[in-house]
Amino acid sequence: MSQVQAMKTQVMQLRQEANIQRVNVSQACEELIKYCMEHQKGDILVTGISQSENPFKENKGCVII
Amino acid sequence: MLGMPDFKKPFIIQANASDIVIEAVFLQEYEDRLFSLMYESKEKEDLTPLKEELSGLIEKIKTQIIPLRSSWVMATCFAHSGNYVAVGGMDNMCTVYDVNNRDNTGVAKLKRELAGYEGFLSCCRFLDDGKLITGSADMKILIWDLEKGVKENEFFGHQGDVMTMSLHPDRNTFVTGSVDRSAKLWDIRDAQCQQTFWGHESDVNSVCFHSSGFAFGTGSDDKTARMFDIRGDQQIGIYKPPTPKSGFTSCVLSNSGRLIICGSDDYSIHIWDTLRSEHNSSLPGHENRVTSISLPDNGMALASCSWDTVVRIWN
Repeated sequence: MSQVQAMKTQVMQLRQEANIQRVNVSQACEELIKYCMEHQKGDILVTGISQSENPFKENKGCVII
Repeated sequence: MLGMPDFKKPFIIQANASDIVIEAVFLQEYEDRLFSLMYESKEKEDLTPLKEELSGLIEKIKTQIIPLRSSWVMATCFAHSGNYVAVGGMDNMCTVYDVNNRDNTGVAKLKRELAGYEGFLSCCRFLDDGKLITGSADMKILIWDLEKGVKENEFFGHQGDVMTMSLHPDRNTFVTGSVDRSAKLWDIRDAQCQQTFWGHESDVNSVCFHSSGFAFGTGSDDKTARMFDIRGDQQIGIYKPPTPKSGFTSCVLSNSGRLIICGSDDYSIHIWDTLRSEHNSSLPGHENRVTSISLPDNGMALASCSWDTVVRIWN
């Protein structure tokens, strides 16, 4: 019986997930692209940093205990 | 001590401490040569002055050593406040330490030991200083109340080991990745799985929220990294290295979300441009599997750790 119950819960969960409101990928992606472009300038891994301002410029490895 | 490192220049400290002996090796470059300053104590010697000296040195470089009871650590996490650190792994437990309070042996005080797992602890995240979410190999996701030391809630749904989790920037939801090849989005308040994301063909080893909260990146044993959009409820990007050799163990998105970065079993770190779906570069340097990568809040650099026992900082 508990297996039937488990299956019922699973089906209910699947139905819930199937019924959610979805946004069209075209629109969702547009907004993601917009977000990335807007925040790109502040993203140092994308735009880089001058060595004089770089707090990590000593490229030595550290062995952590 | 044979000598002291010059603290103004970079140095490496390698230390091993047990009840019997303390060994510390300091390595520092001197006139283009690496030389070591080493101390080793003998058995049954009074270790107090050594321990004091070592703790004094450690205070100077502002780090802490917390000896752990188990060496098989797979998950570790700081509370956002920096007050607590949680660790766990093959000991099937999650232990929380208070970083600011030491016990009478000078070590960070143990705050909580959370037991009851039937599998290894793979991931954990603090919601705040009082609440911790954990994911483990027994397919469980649990929320703990750290003040009371009890389970507050359990999230059901994954059909395989839970390997990884990432909190939404607003901390109301989080995403997990599992050996069952799916990633799931959960609502913290009602402990429900809201969405399930399919696409990966093998274990999802790592998930990372996009800073916008709209999407998340994943790294998997199927040798791909992917991006999933939450509102569209599907995969929107797939990222492969030029020669797919090995699975990805870890994954992060840069602060703007423009770059997705994964640590790999092939010893390197791969970077892709998410918008162009292009492989940007791969960072060689580690001499063994890269197990974990991480970004600080300001996104200024990348830290990677590996089975080669080295932590590297990149930018």
